[in-house]
Amino acid sequence: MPGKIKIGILKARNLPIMDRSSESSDAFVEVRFGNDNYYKTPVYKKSLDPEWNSRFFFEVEEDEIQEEPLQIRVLDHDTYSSHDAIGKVYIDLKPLLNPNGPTALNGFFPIFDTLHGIRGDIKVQARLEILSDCNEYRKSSSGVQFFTSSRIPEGYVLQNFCGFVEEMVLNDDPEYQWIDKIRAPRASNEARQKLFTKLSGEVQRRIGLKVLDIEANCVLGYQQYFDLEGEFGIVVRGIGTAANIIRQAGNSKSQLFPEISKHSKISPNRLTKKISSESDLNHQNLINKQENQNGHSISEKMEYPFLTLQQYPSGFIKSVCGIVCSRSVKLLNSNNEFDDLESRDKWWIEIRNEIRSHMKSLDCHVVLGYTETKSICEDVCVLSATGTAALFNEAFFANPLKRIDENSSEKCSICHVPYDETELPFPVALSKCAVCGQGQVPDVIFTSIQPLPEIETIGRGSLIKAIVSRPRKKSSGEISAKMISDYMPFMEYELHRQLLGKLKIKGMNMLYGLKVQISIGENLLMGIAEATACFAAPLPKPILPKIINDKMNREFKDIESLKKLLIDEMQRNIDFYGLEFKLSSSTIEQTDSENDSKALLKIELDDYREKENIYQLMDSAAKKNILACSTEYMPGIEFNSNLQMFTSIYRCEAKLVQMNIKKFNEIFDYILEGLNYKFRKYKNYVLANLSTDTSLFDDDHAMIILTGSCLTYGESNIDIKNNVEITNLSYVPNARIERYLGLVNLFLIRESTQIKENGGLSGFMHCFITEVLALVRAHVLSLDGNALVSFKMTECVLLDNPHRNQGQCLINVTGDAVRIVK
Amino acid sequence: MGTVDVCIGNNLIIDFDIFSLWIDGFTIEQCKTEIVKKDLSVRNCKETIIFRDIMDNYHNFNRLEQYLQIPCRLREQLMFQVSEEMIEKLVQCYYQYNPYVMREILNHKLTHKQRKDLDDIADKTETRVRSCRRQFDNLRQIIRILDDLKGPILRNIEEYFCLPRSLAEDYTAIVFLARNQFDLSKRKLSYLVLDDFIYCVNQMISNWPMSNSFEHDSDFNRDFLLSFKELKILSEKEFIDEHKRLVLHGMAKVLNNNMTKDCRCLILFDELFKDLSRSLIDIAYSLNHSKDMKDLFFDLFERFIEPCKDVKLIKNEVTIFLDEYRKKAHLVPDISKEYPKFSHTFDKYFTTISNCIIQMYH
Repeated sequence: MPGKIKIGILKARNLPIMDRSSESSDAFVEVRFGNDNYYKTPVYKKSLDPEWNSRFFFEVEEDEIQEEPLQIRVLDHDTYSSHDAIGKVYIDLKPLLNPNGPTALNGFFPIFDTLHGIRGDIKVQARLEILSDCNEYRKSSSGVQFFTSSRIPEGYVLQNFCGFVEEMVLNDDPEYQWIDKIRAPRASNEARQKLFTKLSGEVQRRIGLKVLDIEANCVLGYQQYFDLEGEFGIVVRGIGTAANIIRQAGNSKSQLFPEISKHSKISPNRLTKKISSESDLNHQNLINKQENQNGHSISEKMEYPFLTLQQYPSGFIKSVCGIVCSRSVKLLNSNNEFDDLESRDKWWIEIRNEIRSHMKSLDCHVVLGYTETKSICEDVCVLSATGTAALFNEAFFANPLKRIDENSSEKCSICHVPYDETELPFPVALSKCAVCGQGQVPDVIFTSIQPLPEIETIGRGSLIKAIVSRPRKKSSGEISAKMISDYMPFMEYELHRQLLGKLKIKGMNMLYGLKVQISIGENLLMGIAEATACFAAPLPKPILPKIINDKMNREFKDIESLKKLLIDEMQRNIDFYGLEFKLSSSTIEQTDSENDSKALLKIELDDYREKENIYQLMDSAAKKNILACSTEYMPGIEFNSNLQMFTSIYRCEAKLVQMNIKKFNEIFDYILEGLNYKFRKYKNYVLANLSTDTSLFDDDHAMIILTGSCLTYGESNIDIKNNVEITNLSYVPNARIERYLGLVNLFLIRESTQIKENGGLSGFMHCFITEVLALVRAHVLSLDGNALVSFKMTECVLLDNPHRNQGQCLINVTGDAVRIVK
Repeated sequence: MGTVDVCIGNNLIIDFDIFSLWIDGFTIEQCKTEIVKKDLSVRNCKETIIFRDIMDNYHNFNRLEQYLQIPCRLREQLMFQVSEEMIEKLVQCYYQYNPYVMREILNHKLTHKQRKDLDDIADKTETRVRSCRRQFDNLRQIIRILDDLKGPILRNIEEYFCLPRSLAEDYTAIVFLARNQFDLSKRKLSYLVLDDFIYCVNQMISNWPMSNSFEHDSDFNRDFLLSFKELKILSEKEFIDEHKRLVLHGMAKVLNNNMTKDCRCLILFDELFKDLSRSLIDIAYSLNHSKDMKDLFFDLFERFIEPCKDVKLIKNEVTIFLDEYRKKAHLVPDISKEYPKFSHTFDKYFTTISNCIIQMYH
């Protein structure tokens, strides 16, 4: 349906001096939308603060608005030669399509040039007038709201989940086209920016159509990925959860997600609750059975019962089981009969099917906190998908009264295993739930979702990180792919072993927000896992890892001292995190033979290297006193205020082959220590929502990006005055989200040929990230917002050429623009 | 250390210790040494970590500098989130000057050439060249911006540079000194510090009317300066003797506590009176020539302060003399018949000048 965009190009300020002699500029603006719409303002002579006050309109199609950005280009008029570019602004008009969203867009946008950065601001207004569309063959999918936040938006009520939606588009990357050889860097960068912005719009439009097809009204937990496959092209992927949500009437109690339960006093002997009568239990089991079947029937309606959210309304989850994960190594240039997009589609379908079968084998019917990632190195790529297998309460949607009911019932049931003790899907040590004494619980649970308030935790949480790296021979094609795929299971095992060992030594038994990242370098393979560990009350107390000395040739004393070390470390952790249990002799001396066989962690000492492994399981001295977690909430701590969101970028030049786990650990410690130093003035703070992104380049450098938020607790509210709060959390502590204004999705490229003059690569990156944040803030402000939640830097690639003093960086950021009330 | 090692946040958090070191032109390495020296709590941190933190701060400052040069833009820019209090604090720090450096800078014309020769000033004042350059550039920037603006300097500085009142007032005086190119470089004037000049100029600015033409609001009203010509009658034969008598008489009344000292003082003034009086009137007479205006401080020194100092008159005695000189001038018989507005003009001139002299007399 046709619509009309009314645009106003009003004025600009602080333009750069383009004409040296007069120390001013003769600026004018070109506005483009799609292929047909073009407008040019008159030239405003000799001013760095020109005022055009041009108002005009474009007639457009709705689906164009979903794909095309409004392109604004500011130029300096030159009578004799070609006009000089000052910079560009891309404005996404999609938020205006949303019926609940803002009606107009108005504000100063920084004028960005890929070679010079931000050069002044331009004031733009845009308003959309559109006729409603009832054509069923329509191409547009406006009205479907997208949320990147992986939770039910604040102020909305979830009605139902409709399914997993995904879309993917493939295109040539302009940087690798033949024309790039003769094109100026600016033109090439701009072509890329434009294309990528357009592709991500196309993906969203297509997902929107699917969403309308299954009669949902929004996409929650939307994740967007750019796979830069180099000469093979660029793939833009989007996944999300289609759902129906409605705005809650009245804003009084919009807190859908209850606050993390406060630290509760529970005696170490937690088996105090009354055991319900036998008949009651049977009855309950019966209902459970029925519900299980019910759940099956519903989840079978969805092709893939995968939910990309990480937080769910209370009462929704019935039971969490554990992580399901699937990986596959693929060659990008495999010449098969399918076209490129089709073959990539097939790859993902394979993976999803595998995840689904894993889920089924665990007797679960839904996967929560689902993500799909891809790591690429030249022509080899590793596709991964992970999530948390779980059961959900079918009654949750059917009967709203039941929800309340569910809240009051035993909360520990979430930890109970969904399968029968007699038919275990895999060998696992089960024990009686420590809270209710009835259900069977495993000794640890790993999940990829945010901390569940329903599960009672004792003490505080902690960040756990596991790193595995392994050199590989330089090779390409088939051989390389095979090598990587051969190593993958070992890597997975080693990561798991480390996580488990660290978890035990921490004295904890549950992992939230587990994220595993695989990076492939030319001659190095690396895996990093991070999660928030905590001590969940229903699960059994952790047992000290057992040291088994097979060969008996080792000094007894040696073993004893190692044991002592482990006990000391564990004791220290128990004290530090307030876990409130004692290392009783029974936890230390596990002689029970039955338990022994099933105990998940043993350390076998058969060569000297193993001893080092034990040390590796303990936190380094640097990390010891820093409170950190990889999730948005920290178990056991309630946050006061958001001090700062930070992005730490570290690039090291080293022969990657020589990089071992120890060296990587040192780098991470160094980054954390640096952050600790920065926030040393604040007493009580937590580095929350930490997320690491590691990329390996060629054979000689690695880049590590650590993002997170520094939050304070137990202190008087620190009021930070700012115009726009940007946070990677999906909420703002001590504030309420009043309104969601739309997705902000920016794709930017910055290039410089004066790296040394501007503070080296560090200076270049510092400047670019600062500019990106400035652009994000401007977009939020123009939508009348004052915060951006779920900020995520999905892509950050830095390429450099020191001999030519050149550097190029490409960044994609996303988030939800919102209006908050403090 | 990595080739890239940065940490960027959404809120600008500034470590003002580092900021002031940056302003003083410390390199990152020097800054680190200084911070470690100052802050005991960081002693057990790794040096690389302190270094990295300083580097992050420096990156911010280097980007921030372009806005600090035109502080009113700090309010509208989107690059950094700074609160109003922070803006004030940042700007105040950035425009803080070292009086010794500023004194040296004012000795010469603010030319590109001088900017290159700041090393000498840096050596002399034991300041870093970078700091000198910042102070030099700040002053030049203020003058350049003011050139395009209309209205009173003080208001423009306050508005455009977001400076607090007292600093803005000092800058008003400094700009005034620089614009009118007062000659402060004479060796004999070298004992005077910047505050002396600022005081004197502020006296003139607040007491003397400014020119109404917009281009140069640091010029005094020409007609006003020309009116000083009329003061010449005071040094004419018929009046000077009477004036002298009145002044000495008055002084004797005020002094009378230490006989020997007072006598000496009266005798000295008796001797010097004609020369001093003539000098003061001559200075007034010549102020309308811009060249003489430039030499004002030197003239005051050479023709008034130096003779008094040579005979070892103390500040208090000079103060009493100047006070009496001004009071008794009105009482000289018949002088207002010759020049009806004499009292008014003379007061305007002499209050200011006597304050200047007292300030400079040390």
